[in-house]
Amino acid sequence: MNYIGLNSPPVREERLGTGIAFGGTTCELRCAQKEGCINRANRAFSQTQGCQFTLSLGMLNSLRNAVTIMHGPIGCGACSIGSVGTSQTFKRLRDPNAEGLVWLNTNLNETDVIAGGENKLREAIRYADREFRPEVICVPISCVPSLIGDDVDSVLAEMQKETAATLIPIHCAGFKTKAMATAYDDVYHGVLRHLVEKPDRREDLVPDDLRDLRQKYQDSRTVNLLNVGSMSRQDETELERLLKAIDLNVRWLPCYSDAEDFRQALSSALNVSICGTHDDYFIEHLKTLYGIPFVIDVMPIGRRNTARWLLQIAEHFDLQDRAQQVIDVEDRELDAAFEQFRPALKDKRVFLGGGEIRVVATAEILQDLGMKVIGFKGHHYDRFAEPLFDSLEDVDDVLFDVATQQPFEQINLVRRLKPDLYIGHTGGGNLSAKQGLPLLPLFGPTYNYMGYSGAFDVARRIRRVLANGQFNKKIAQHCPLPYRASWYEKDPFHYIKDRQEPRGPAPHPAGD
Amino acid sequence: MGRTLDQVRYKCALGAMQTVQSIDRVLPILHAGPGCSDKLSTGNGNSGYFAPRIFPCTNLSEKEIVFGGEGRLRETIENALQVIDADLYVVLTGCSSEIIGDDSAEVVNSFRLQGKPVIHASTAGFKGNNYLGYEWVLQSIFEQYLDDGKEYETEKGLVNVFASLPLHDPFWYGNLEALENLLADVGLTANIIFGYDRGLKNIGKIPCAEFSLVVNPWLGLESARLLEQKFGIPCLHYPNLPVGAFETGKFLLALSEFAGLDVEKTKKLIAERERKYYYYIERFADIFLENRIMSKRFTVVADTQYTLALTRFLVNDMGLFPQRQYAMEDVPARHQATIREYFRDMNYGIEAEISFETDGHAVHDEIRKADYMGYPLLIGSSWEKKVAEETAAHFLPISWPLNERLIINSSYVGYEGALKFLEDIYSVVLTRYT
Repeated sequence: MNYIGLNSPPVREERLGTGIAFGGTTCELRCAQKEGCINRANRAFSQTQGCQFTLSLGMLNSLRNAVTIMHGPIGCGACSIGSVGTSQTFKRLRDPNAEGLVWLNTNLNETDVIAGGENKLREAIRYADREFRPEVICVPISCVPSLIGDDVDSVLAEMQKETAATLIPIHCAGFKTKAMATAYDDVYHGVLRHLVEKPDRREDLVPDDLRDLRQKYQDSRTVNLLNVGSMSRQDETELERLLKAIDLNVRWLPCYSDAEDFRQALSSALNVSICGTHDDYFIEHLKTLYGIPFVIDVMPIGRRNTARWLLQIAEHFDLQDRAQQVIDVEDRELDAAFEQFRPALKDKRVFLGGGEIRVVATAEILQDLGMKVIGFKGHHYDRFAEPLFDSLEDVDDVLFDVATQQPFEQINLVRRLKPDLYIGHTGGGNLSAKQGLPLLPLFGPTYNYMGYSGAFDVARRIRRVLANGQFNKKIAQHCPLPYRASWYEKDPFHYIKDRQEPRGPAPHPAGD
Repeated sequence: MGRTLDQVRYKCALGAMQTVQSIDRVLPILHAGPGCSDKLSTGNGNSGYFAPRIFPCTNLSEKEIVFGGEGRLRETIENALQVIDADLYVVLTGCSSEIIGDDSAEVVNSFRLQGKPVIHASTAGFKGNNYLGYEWVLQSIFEQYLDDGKEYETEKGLVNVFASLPLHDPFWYGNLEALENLLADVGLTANIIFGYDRGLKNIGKIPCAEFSLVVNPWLGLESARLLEQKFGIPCLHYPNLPVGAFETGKFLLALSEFAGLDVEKTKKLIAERERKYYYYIERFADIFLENRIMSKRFTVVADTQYTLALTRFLVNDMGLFPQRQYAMEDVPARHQATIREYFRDMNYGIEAEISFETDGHAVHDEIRKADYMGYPLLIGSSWEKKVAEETAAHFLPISWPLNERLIINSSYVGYEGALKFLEDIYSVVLTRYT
């Protein structure tokens, strides 16, 4: 893969054939993906979804010693306000002196729409560079400058001559793709073009062969672990523990990293992805450009996925035996730990909604506990979710709704399927609660989901939410959902365009 | 003002989707990019009947940018009417649909001609902020939903009330309720369109009101003036949100005079209320009088309604002195001179300097340099947390963005509200002893 010569990466619809509109069984979905006919995005009715600009900020706002300049009208990036606190807390885990998030907005108005926003951007960059003295200034470009034709790349190239900070344009106008995850490519594209470089400027004045050899040995046993914004520190600690158990060192990228981390990363022996949807663009390029091998396969949630993930890394270093020993010990411990949860959780029916990688990966923990997975909803679908199905049993007939948000489809589906528990992405919880369902967030900044301790933590929390569902029951009793009764009579996938035939389950008789 | 901003206190005009959302059973339909709603949905208590994820949206993509999005909008409205159970659908247009020149008003009109409850407001983000968006949405409702050909019968004592920016101002709901109660105390009935069980029922009553009451230094004024033009409803503009005994008394008198009520009766009511208010103050007077930690100087960095209201309360009731005050919501230039006057109208000729600002970073530099003669009392938003730490201030965040407090329906308005405000301030001040 090499798109590095382009100003912006191709959108995922084109690069990966990613689709965001599908309704059918898991089997049908996977066949469609293999045949290349999943690439659809059209609905005759849609609700708000989210765009690549917003998602880019998830990564950009986490960079240390960086300033984000949102190039757009004042509303673009307003969502960053909510992440100011968490961003600072997490940055300080890496560097106790780290500053919290600093972001500016070029505040484009009607005059700028006519006259162009380039001058304002110049001013903003100059101001940010002098006022905050960051190492990096990231400029995510929203719809408006893209539509009015601001040449941001040229502005940044020209401004680079007078700024101390490295300037990175991020081409992430919301209208360009409906596959939000293109955001990750946008950010990595900017990082690859402007931040990732061999740290060859630094040569030691006093040569020290022994130290160099030690460093080289260290590097040969070091992996870059690519974290994702939805991970908690506990997740990181758990994965780090597993890799340390087979004697490997870990460097974390890209979230909460600074510019130097990206340079150092080039000396690591292996790039390890946790989420295919997040990282393929980055690590494929690092392979092409710098010859660093990579592992991109499953997300280490659930014991089978975790073991497979660990073994693949171990294989690269010829440490499989050691990894297998770790896995055996962990398996035994998890078996013993799960015993207390099995009776309460057995045969409980679960619907999962959120990022397609996470929902399929998390399903493994549920099956492991004797629960039944009865429905999925994924933000999008492409080949990266495929390997995760190897860890699941009997899910061919389980329904899979591919939709970015679009809660109206999910609400309809859930009403038919009648699960006992909903596990879902942030922001939609209040809607599922109105269906009276106990709710477990699909991820959370303070909870552990990954690795063996994550499986345990998920089990423990599921038992707890199932044990007292009073809050949600009461909400359901008092707060109706805003859909018309006639909507529930219709097929949940009714508004997806270009479908062959409706394949949803039969409508449920009236009432709940 | 169009300069680059740091630590901003408002969103773009499309943020008016929150104004729509706060009217019971009225649904925004966005003709905008796919992420606009996600970016703008931070606010205070917005997982309501229509949470932002429920809003229909055309999610404009490259295809519509090139070929136009009117067809997509038509389809979205048509199906929204079928899927989602609302009383009124308000189409809001964002930047991209307006730049490509979609005639959204025309599409919406075609639905209105069929008798469908759909109206339209132009709220492109580059045209203004969510404060202006609020006015544009109100004006659309008055112009497109209310029928100005019809004869409306005036209902005695009914008053349209407009005050704080819904869902953006953390205390918006409590403020409206507190004002409603104050009106009821003097025998008036508030007609409020935002919040619980009001919705179209109250929108329909707007033309029947005896007058409109705008309790804000500027926000809502132009919308109320539109009601004056269209329906001949006079407008009482009372710039100061009344907090505390002194200001609430003034408010009740002004209201009674304007409404032609028995002023003597109102004076009696005020005396009674003040007696109870000072019963509480008396019991805690020790703290207010002998606390040697609280400085007498304060700064408010908030939207103008709080900057004015809290400054007046702290000066006129509590005997403090204002440092420079900051109005942060990009107050339109035409209102600024009048607002300056409001800050000169305080007891004993005390005046406050007021700066109309938009950039928090610049404000913080000034606060760092100011001499508060002790620990400053700093009232602002989450953005002030850092400068408060640096200046060892007593810090009470009250204004958007407000990340560290949960405000459900409380308010600082009136007699009760002022006590709540004192509780909140001194809950911070007293931690200095612990």
